[in-house]
Amino acid sequence: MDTYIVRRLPYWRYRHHSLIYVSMLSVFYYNIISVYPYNNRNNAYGVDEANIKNYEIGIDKLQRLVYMWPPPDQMQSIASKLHLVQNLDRIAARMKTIRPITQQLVEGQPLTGDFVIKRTHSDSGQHVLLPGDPNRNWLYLRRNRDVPKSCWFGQSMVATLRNTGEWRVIIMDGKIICTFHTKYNEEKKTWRSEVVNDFYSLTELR
Amino acid sequence: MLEEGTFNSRQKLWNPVEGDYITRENAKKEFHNFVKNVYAALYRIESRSTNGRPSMSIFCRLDIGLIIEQGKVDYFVNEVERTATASLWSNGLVGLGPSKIGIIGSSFALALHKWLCIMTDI
Repeated sequence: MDTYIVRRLPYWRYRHHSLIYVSMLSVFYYNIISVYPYNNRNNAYGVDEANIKNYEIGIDKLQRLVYMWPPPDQMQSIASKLHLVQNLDRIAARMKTIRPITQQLVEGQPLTGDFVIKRTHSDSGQHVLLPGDPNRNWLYLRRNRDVPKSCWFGQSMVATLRNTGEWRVIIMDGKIICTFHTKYNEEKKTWRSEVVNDFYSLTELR
Repeated sequence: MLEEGTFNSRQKLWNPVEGDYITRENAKKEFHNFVKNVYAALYRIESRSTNGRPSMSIFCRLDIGLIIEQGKVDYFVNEVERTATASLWSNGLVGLGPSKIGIIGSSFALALHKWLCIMTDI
């Protein structure tokens, strides 16, 4: 199979062959990891302390046979948002731009205050607790730390995220492909997105 | 150009329908430069810590928000997504304007093919 890839890939007209090959492996990859039970809504990947070892052994075996993207050894740093936040803080300091303040929560510390509580190893806004959320208590936080190495952190509230939305920039191969603006509609309880072609300058927004 | 100080009262902060083309070009450049600079800096950090090509070399989605502090307005990166579960916000039925999903899909195929070629070049 490896020979097949090496021989075919350099030719652009065979690109679909390679992609079919990759997508078939993706299905296989999905089938392997999907055998792990979906414990609850808060653990979309079904990985916990009990099955993480088997998962890692399975991925290691599979990685000897096929190429995987994202590379499994990078998944831990991708999932750990605190590493990312530290990197973004460092970059912002160098660029002299503003960032919200982020701190890992210490067990038992008061959870009242004007900050957002978020968890690492999570996506799609599943572990985001805004001020006033009834789940902002240590019982809930402890119970929802089932993904190995996950932790909760606090981040200063950025009101503009809710009021003005976000710009989602799709980047492929280091190039900006397109930008969407998204905003949550509080009344309809749904998101709306729009392709962005033009921008205001920061001077205009001041 | 719009008057300064209208940030909080303005309803829509994207796709402005006024302003001359130089203002709009500079504003676009300002946004893209911010994104490119953060991407390049993050790429450098991750390539050092992984000792290889970071996963974001193929695909990533940078979520940019606005942040205000003492009268200063800045862009900031709220999130970086780069896995198969990242939403592409391209559902033409929900969104406004034509869907970009075809361009995104073809671009991903190109980037993935390029990556596979590099990985298999022995």
